[in-house]
Amino acid sequence: MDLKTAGYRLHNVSPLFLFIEAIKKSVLPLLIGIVGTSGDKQDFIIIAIAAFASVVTIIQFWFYHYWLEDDRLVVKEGILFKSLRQVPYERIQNVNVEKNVLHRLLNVATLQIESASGVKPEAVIRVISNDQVSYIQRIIKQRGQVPVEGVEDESALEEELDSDPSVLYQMNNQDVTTYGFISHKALVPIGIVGSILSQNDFYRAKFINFMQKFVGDLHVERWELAQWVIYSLGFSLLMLVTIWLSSIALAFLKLYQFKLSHVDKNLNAEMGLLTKITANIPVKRIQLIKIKHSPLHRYFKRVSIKMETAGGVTEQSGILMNWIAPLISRSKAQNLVSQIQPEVDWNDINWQPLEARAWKRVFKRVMFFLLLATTPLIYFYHQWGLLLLLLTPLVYIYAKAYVNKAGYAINAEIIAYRHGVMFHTLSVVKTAKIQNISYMQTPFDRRNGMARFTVDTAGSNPVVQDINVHYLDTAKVKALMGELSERVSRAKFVW
Amino acid sequence: MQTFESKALEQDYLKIVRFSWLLTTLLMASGPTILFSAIFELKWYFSVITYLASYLLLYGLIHWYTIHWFKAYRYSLNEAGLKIHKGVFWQQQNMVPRNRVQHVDITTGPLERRYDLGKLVVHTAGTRNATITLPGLMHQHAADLRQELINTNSSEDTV
Repeated sequence: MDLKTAGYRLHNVSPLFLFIEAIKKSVLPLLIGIVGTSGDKQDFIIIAIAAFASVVTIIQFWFYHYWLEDDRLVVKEGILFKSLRQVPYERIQNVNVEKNVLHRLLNVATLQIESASGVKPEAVIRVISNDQVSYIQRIIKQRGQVPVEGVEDESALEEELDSDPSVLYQMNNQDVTTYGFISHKALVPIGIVGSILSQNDFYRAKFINFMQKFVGDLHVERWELAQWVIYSLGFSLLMLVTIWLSSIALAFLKLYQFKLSHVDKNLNAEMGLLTKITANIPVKRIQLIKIKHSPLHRYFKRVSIKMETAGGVTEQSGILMNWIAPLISRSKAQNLVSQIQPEVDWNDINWQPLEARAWKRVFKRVMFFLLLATTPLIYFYHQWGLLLLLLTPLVYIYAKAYVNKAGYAINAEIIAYRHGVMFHTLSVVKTAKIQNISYMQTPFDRRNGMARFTVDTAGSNPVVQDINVHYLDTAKVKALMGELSERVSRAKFVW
Repeated sequence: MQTFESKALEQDYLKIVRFSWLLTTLLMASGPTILFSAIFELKWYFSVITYLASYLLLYGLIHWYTIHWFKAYRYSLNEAGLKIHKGVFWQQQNMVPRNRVQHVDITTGPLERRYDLGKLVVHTAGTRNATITLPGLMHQHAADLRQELINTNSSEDTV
């Protein structure tokens, strides 16, 4: 292969970042695993090996080269197994930039480039100087839009960048605080720490000693009922406050000064306190838009808006950016979405209900699980186990609410589906982004003359199907499928 | 543009499927045999009888199931795209619009080659149902279908 332009190498401080990344990926999980179980000394040998392996990863620095050709980006990497990757600019979906404190200190950044190729980013350039980042971004932006004939001069490049960025949405500190409070993001990490503490004798003893310095000896064995109640209430409150505060702190780390703006035909997002992420997503590459709200969202009269792009990168495999608006008032939400996709007529959405008799099926399904849970309770507590059945009216209310809140809408441009009683999700896919359509009928469906249908999009979550319209009459589903496949086959798919 | 109404798979494919079940059941039948032999401490010849009985029973059930499975497996091609219907208890129908086909593979196993059969694998850019397979076609027919799907895919991939 002939490369016309000169190759670039990574920045000189790159080995440091490669090393840190390797440590993060290999040593830390091991460390947590070991602390969580035994904490024996010999386990540290494994960690030493992993640390050594991390040092070795630095070598890739000398073997990483990239070129910016006229029409594509070329990345060459690997020591024993070499790979040469060519990504045409016009196929690049997202460009994300990550800068943490260390990056900023050294004036460098990590650049991640995604195409529509499954779950891994096409290239992660770790790390290059800030100037180089903006140079690459400019090249991708300019050459990705129109098929270039010959190289255009720099002045044309500058001109295009001058178009005014219009801010679509930004978060102030109060929004971030509210988001942190609503999201309860710290619940899982705190749970993990809690379970590690309860598993590991050594650390548990240490933790209890530490706590006793503050509250003194509690003499649990002499507690009366009242004391139990007071202390457990106090403890729960303490835990709640801890979770709230740390969730808010996490939200600030991630979303501080979140700003979404419209530049040319791209969405530009910036966020983060210590680690700053800048993401660039072409608007036309949004595959799916999701509007979510939980009970707490409803209390604050807010919703969260997410999107899916064809990159399909997950939090584990790269820098993930899927926010349109982490927290936005209900009234502004529709406005924002219609600003992003002006070609869709958002007033023309005609919500269709599920079959009214579907509540019986939801009721039966939930009751089945309830009875399943009751069986061991009856075995252990005899007639007291039956108390669980007092929940039956609640199940009835839930089933009715489920059918009321769910609905679907199909028009010329989109298909939308909404569902969920407590945690409500509304997903919208443009017809042109639908990849294939399926129809499913379980034996239970058949008995009730019902079926479900789903549509598949690029870059969607393989586990959760967002458009999954269930509890509809078989005839209706068949008609819908025919209509939809007709429309999809007429609509041209553009990534 | 070529279209056809719902078609069944080749009869030979049913033979292949049954043959592979015949082999798989050899393994499956050992499960109940070991279980019964251990529980009732059976003599060796009773174990053999249990094995044969469970083999026949299992295979009989599977044989009956494959009749219906084969009957339910149907595919059709219309202007919009390729439609595949399958499943006995859990029925599903997948529809791939012609203009969403990314690429099409044909794979053949050793048994399938013997009967000149092929399996069509249609890839789309989706995630959960990104690959849709259609087994049990005559190799030539699969190649024709592939050609048809590729030819009528009018969308040049303009980004």
